[in-house]
Amino acid sequence: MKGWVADIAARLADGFEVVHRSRMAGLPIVNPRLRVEAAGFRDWGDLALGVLITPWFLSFVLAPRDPARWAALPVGGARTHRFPAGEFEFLVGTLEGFGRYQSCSLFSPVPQFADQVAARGTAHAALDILIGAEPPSSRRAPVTRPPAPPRRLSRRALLLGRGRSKEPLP
Amino acid sequence: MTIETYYEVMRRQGISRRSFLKFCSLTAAALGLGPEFSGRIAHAMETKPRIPVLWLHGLECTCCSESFIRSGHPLAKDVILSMISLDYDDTLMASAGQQAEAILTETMEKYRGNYVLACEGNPPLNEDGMYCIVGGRPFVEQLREVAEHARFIISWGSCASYGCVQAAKPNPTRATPIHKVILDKPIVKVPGCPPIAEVMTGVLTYILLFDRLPELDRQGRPKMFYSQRIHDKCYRRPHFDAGQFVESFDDEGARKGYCLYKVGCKGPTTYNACSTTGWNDGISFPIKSGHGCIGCSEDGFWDKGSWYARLTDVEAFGIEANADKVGLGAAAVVGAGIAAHAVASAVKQTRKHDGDEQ
Repeated sequence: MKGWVADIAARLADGFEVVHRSRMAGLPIVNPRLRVEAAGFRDWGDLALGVLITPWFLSFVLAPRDPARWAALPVGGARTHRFPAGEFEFLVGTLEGFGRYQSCSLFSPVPQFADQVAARGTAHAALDILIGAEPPSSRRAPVTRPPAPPRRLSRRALLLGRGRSKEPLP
Repeated sequence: MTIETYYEVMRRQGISRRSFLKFCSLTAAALGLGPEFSGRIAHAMETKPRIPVLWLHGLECTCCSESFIRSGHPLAKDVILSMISLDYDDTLMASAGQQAEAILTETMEKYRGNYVLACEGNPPLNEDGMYCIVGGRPFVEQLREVAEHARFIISWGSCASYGCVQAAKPNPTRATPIHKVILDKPIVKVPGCPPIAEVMTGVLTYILLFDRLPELDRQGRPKMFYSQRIHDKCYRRPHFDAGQFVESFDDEGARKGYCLYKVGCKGPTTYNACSTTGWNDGISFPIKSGHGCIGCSEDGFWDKGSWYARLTDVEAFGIEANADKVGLGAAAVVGAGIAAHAVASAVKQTRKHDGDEQ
């Protein structure tokens, strides 16, 4: 992981950990079996891309290398980003001490995750699908066909209308 | 007598070719289909004979009709009202009394097996259905008769789909959703109290043009409009994530547009398109005007406690979750036991529609 990406991941996790311990404390929608974790962060052009796991949501997150770049975006606005798995709409959010980021919700709340390992596994699997490391589903898996045999047509065959020549051309 | 196509009907009503093509592209967009579908829609409208729609009303408040006739784009409203050939709708048709009932019988005979039944409201079954009389007979009888030879059945709104307020406990009339009365046919549910106008016209247009029901989830709702929760796409969602909540109406948080979860918003458990499509031509939706979602498109929303009580039953989120997320929803996921297909479907649902799912 590149240094600036690691820095973004760490600052996001720290920021949401503060939210977890303060404003989210004691709320019934918080899953006590989970903790805040920035999972699978990597660079995506000039953006950091990863999944943020918290005890109340699990979302794809994008944040710019240069925080000033998104500073003027209105919170709550939607932005569409294209990934190998298709177009996804992200919402602009803001976090104290971090600034603007964009997130696309996968799960919220998150009672179905029994432990952090399960949430982390889901996060990595979802990222793999998003960036095309895996087909979105088996149904949409690309069909691999054997390469078509080279179609060679000799000039003589073409002019005489005999279709493909029998002997391969050199 | 030759049956007119949709296009002929529209031209006869003075809609220009240019407006017609614009309608086709608007419809493609409303259905979440790619622009390439615009041509297919135009072709279907030019060649398909129009299908009559028989719109029945049981126990209901007519809010579905009110929503429907206010479809955001005026062109869509004009086109759809002319194109769906509302042969019978006791709220909108000109005829009344015996003449009206005669039209119903005539259309059913003439288009036997080839008309759409759109049902708003539901039949009450107690006292042999005497709590809802249409044309001198219990509504449930009319419903069964029209359903018998219907090609497609649409259940408009939460009344027809789930029962709604008249089925709330103790449900004295035994108001019953139509899928519990019509057992032998697929029914597309379009819940909401009322449903969003663009969702209603979208579902109807899809059926009329493609001559099949759109893809449905396990509850029978069209996936193109009901696959995501209000919470997933809510513009106030960043405030939920950041733990910024309205504590009481009119407090500082309310003025700043914070998340309404603590004042009872049911967005996290409600599947509908309000936060993406909006209401009144996309101008607003309840959360945008400062009130939490009351979950009107969910089964039994009248019996789930106060609209202002915050959701506390955390486990219920998982159980109620969309059928497609059930792999991760119904059972707790432990350790490495992650169902790859469940993650894939969660990602797929999050993705924007791009038309290649048809």
